[in-house]
Amino acid sequence: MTNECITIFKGDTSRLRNTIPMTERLAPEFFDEEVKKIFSKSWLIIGTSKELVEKGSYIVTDVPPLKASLIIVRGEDEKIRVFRNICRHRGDKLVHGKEGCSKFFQCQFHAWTFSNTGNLIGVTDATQFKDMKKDELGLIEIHSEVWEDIVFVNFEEHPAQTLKEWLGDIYGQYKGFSDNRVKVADHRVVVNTNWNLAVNAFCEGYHNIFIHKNTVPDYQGSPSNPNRHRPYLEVGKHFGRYSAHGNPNHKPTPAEGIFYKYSRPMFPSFVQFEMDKLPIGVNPSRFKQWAFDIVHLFPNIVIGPQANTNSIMLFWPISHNKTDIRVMRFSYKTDKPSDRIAQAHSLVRNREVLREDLATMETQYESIASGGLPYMFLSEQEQLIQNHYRAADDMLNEET
Amino acid sequence: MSNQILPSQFLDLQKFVDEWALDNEAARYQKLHSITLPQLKVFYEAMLSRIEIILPYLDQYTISTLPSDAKVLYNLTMTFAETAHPVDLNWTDVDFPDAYAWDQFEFRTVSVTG
Repeated sequence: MTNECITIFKGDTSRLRNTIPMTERLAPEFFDEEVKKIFSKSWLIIGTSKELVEKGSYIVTDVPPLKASLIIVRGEDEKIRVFRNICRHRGDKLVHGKEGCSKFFQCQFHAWTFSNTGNLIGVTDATQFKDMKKDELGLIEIHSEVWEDIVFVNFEEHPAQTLKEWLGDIYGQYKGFSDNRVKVADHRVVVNTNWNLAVNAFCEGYHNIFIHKNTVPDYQGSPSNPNRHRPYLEVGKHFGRYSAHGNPNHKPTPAEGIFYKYSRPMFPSFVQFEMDKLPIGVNPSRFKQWAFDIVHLFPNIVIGPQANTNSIMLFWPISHNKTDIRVMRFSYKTDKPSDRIAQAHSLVRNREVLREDLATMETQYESIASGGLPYMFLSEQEQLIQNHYRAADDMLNEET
Repeated sequence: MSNQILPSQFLDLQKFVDEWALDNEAARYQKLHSITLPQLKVFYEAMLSRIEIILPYLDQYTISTLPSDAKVLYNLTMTFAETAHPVDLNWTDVDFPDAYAWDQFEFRTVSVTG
């Protein structure tokens, strides 16, 4: 008997390939195809409804591959809508700030005014416009759906699939996983790498024993899992997910140990707890020494459910060799000082782990872009990466 | 910042307040990367030796009702929570080798203060 954790593999693994030629995928022309056939057609995350509590509260965000600026707003009718941040008169950017709360948006160019539900409600010097039909000049809405506090958009005029169809079985498996949590960190960094490599870095746990030795040397694995295999790994049409093994013998650092003693343990300490109330999609195999899950939503999203916290990472390509990475972290609502202190410690530990990952992405990009690597050779523990390229090729090969 | 005073039982930490009682993540991160490891260790050792008195003291209050002197202590402790790792992990510097450039991070709005 080997001293190894056996991974439970789930999902359709047909057409997964363990060799992925990469050089061509890093070319500018290839990126143009990805924009046209993947980013223009996929369901993409642009923010969360947690930030839009009041009627009229809005956030302005951008979608770099599509060069789009968007307004996400909770209207007077409580519904969340997503509009292009464009005035319908002559196309100037409508909102220049990042966020706010208002019943209406007014363009600074000629003061056209739109309600927070998108209707054109005010035109200056209106008699000078011939045949104006105000109801045809509302803000341009993008298809959006809110799933578990997360706002998705689809830029197609008529999306081929609803979000439910796109996500498939996992759509209903995360009910309430992020309820009662607030955003405790929001980091952005622009990295000189290709977006595929950036998202791939979070789609396997094989690297953590080597790359994360500075920041969290003993957070995963155990004597029964020395290679830190994933206890659970699943691939689907537009998603891949795995669970990570929290080391029961993790030795908290001095300050970490004290912070979590007065609050709740969080990353990189993982304690066993009663999992009955977890949504079925979180830790799907109910692995006892569970640390966290990684859920890759194709193309560019990684969600990390965890006890007491969760994260959303977005990997936005700006070009073939520049990626805008945005990391949002959420934790439970609290007004207890020692809780916030423990949360702050945990999110900083996570931030430093991220800085180890980021360094690798740039050097890997330089190597592969040189044309010197015939293909990447992937392990079974890296099936989420294999799945990423299967999903990509499925969309790239679709007739338009 | 010079008029920030700690609760009387923590006046031994008052000498750190001007530099270390910072009220947001970006400022704390900037602070960590502007000092040497020996400088960090002085703050770390002082805070670690008092932290088990500090946390129960702060927890007499809620964050939204912290008196002004306790708020200073809270900010000081938040800075400790966010700068403890280099000493905790026995790094030989305030940063680790081959870390991604620290100054490339942009800190955006969060829902909680402090």
